[in-house]
Amino acid sequence: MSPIDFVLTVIGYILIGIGAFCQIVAGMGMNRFPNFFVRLHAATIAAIGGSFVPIIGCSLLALSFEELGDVRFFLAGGGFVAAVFLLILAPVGSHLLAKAAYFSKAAVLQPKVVDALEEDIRKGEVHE
Amino acid sequence: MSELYELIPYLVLSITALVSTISVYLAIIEKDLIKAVLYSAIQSTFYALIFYLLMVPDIVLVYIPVSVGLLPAILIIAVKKTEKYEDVTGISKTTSTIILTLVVIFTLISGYLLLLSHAITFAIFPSTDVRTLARWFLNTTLWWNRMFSAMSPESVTAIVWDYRGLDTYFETSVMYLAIIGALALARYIEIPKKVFKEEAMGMSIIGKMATRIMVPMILIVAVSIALHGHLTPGGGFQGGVTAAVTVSLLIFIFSVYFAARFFKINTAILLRIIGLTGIILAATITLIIGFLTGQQAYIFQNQPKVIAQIGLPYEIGGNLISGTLLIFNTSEFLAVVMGFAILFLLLSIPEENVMEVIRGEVE
Amino acid sequence: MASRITRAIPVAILAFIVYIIFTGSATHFDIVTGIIGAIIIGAVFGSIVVTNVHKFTQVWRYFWGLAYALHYFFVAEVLAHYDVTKRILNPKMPINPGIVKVPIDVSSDYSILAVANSITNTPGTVVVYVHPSKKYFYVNWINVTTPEPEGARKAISYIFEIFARKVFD
Repeated sequence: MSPIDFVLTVIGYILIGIGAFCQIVAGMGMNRFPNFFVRLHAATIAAIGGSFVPIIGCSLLALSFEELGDVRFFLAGGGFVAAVFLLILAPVGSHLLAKAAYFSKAAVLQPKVVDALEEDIRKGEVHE
Repeated sequence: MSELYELIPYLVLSITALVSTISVYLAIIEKDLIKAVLYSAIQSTFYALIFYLLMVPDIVLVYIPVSVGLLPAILIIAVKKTEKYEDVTGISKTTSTIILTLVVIFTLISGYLLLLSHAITFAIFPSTDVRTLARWFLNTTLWWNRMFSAMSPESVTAIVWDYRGLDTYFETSVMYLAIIGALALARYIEIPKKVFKEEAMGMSIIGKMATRIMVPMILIVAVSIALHGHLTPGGGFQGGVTAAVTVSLLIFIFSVYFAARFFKINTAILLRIIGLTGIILAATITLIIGFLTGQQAYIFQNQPKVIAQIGLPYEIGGNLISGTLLIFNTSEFLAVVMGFAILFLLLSIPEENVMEVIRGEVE
Repeated sequence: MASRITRAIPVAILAFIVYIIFTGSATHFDIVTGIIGAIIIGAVFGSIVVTNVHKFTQVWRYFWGLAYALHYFFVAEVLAHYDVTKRILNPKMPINPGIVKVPIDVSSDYSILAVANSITNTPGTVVVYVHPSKKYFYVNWINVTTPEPEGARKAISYIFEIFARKVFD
């Protein structure tokens, strides 16, 4: 095993470990947080720390695993592309969910410190 | 003596299966939830033994800690938090928890000891040999003899084509007929021409911009999945379904009028017919060559076989294409993505337009 | 028509790069099929993806994009993850959630996407609504330190805006 492969393997394992930790933390947050909007923040941890990071880790691991031969580039490439897609599409999903939940009043924003959007709707600046 | 020795695994298998069934029964009828968890842990231990006897030691190594150690522990915590005894029995909660913890630890240790002792005494580790069936499939796919193999390292594709060609063909035909049916139902129904402002319709600007950039990327990934069906997992159908996602994204994030700019129903029908023609060509091309040259050939034949010496080239300039598999994957991709595009577009036509057409026909 | 061809080129190049990375090999077969697929896709979808082709030829944008990525992955994400993880694991769970109005000052639509995605992707802030004038975000914030728009902008979106302006505007 060449030094570069060794470094890639170690980084890959570290990233997968970070991912596992983030998933557990996100699960705990899902259970502990009081309402839908705050839980979205825990879901973000699951999407980025818990999915994006370990997928990159898996790709690096596959890249460093010489026994696989040429297939390792296929595995790593698929992982990288999937990770980038996740990076672009996961926040869009979060945003659209939050918007839909807010305007359909399916989830109540409680507790809250301030709600600027509600104020602007009352003022008539925002119509939905 | 040796016969008895060979019988032992099956004997152990039947006993463990019986015991685990009994413990499942006990776990279901037990009123005290803590005890039910205990029975389920016992059942898991014996399941692990069954898995071991079925020659999957790697699953056992995961199964024992998770289902004997971790799962009961989580269940105990849950039971303690909710305190939902169905029926309070004589044993107090702390005592039963201690008993259960001990039992879990005991099963964990004994499970591993059982595993180890079994491995040492009976020595039935999974064999390094491949079984006959597996060897047959490996030989017909990976063994690079054109007389037997489909010349594709992706065994699923090779087997689908060489062993289940008719099956695949009729699957495609079923979908073709379904879409013909949908088109016949929706005759004269068209997506209405409508002037619209892109800004005013669809979801928020963030969703729209992300869709704009992702639609070409999803399509190119789908093309890659489809065209490498003979090399990697995937193929025409999988790629086509991935590409069909873009149509539904355009419809839901923007609007059906926006999606109709890129996927017109009539063009989609035309491209779909081209794809289906390609599939028929892939199925019969060796047969046609056989007719023209006066040799024997079969329908769905790809590589030359012992009594039919015709076959398509499996590589072009050193690049593996596996004969008809590339034609088949490309055509299937085109047919599937266009078929789904037609369906999605037809299903999202506003009902008012549909009603207009239907009333017009009745009058 | 000419603009349609020039718009197709960057999309086709991007699609080809994604194709080669996803396939994980660059044999003649991959290159030929990739070019064919990328050209078709670029020709069909170029008009909705690209609005201004000249931005693709300005090299300094790519360096700013790299700086954006480095800052985003190694500073913004790490700090945000650390902050929210601390809040989840803290027994008292100190959260003061609320929706604040954040003014943004970027012109192109891709900048809005980049800033909004960066905000949503960092745990602790989620964009709930974009004002129709594209000048304000309404952001759900897990720990509202100030309800003032300008103060919230400094805490949430200011750095992303600087980078996004350099890359996309």
